[in-house]
Amino acid sequence: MHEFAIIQSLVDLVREKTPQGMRVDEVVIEVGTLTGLVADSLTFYFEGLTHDTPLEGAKLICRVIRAKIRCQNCGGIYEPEDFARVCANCSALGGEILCGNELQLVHMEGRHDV
Amino acid sequence: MCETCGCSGDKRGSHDNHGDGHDHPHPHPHPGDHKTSLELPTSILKANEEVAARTRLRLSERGILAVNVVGTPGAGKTALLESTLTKLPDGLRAGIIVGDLATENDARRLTRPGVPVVPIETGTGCHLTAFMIERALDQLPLDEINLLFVENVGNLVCPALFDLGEASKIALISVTEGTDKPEKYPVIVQHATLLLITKTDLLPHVDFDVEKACSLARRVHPEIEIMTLSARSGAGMDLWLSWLSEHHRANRSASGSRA
Repeated sequence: MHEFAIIQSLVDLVREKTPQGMRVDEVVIEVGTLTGLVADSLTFYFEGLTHDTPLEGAKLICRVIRAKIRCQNCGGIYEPEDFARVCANCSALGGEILCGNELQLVHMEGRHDV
Repeated sequence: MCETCGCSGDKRGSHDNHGDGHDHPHPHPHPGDHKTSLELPTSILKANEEVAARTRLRLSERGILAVNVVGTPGAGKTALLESTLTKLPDGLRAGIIVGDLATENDARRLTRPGVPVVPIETGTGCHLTAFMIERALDQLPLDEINLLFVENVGNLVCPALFDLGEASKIALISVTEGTDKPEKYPVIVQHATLLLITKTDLLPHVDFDVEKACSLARRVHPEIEIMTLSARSGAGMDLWLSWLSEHHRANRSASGSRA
């Protein structure tokens, strides 16, 4: 997955929204498993893209949200294996995606630059 | 122009100059209060999504059906559009936006009288963004078209998450790419409305199991529509053209436009 493009968007978003004079120490994001994004790659690119910027040194925390599907046949809730929406209880195809598509910035920690 | 969010930062990967020269309003900082400037949680792709929403509205107001055609380099995107343009159902007037890292070759292949084409050379960008589409739309005679084909950069990965403001994402997988392709690229399969299995004229020469590929796609996205076709031989093109007509009609009714 091209985590690079996602991190570019994240860094732009954080930089645009950080008040002047604030130093960002930590950025927390939620990433659903259905996005296919890999947390290690996100962290790697975050370090690279924040180098030599006011965000340098900020830590990226990725909270992985494991996908959950509610089967439309038996009502059971299961975690899809390999993105396949095949019910672990009754093998029916499909179902409602309850979570797993998240790609959001949820928290930022910072302090004033003295 | 920053290709990620459309501001006037330079194009270096680190976006070093992104913060300079901008007149973003900054709230008065309070000690320990670092969240006043951003409502959380917020989508990481918020900037792209906002532009995509704007585009969706703009197209809807004009009754223009937009489809985002994605596929691996060589899947047959341009060939499909070339063939489609020669057989466009009555009443459909197409415009095209074509993205590539380099060259305008595909745009040239699609150029013909009566069909406006806007090429986008992305340079290092591996997918089109909503910003690029918005700018390209400014160059199209929107009063003269009711169907917009966006041929995305050859890539089955990144386009999945980048909304361009289209009505449908159409994923192309050719029979030369291996039966398990839908399993290997589940995210685009999940986001596509329609999967086109292309180059079916080559089936006698490759080990591609169409039924198995369809089954793998439906495991990831049970509701996905699947068609097989060959732009070269014309096989299956009728169903694809019908799909365009039906979706254009439905789109027009939904938007209430008389285009």
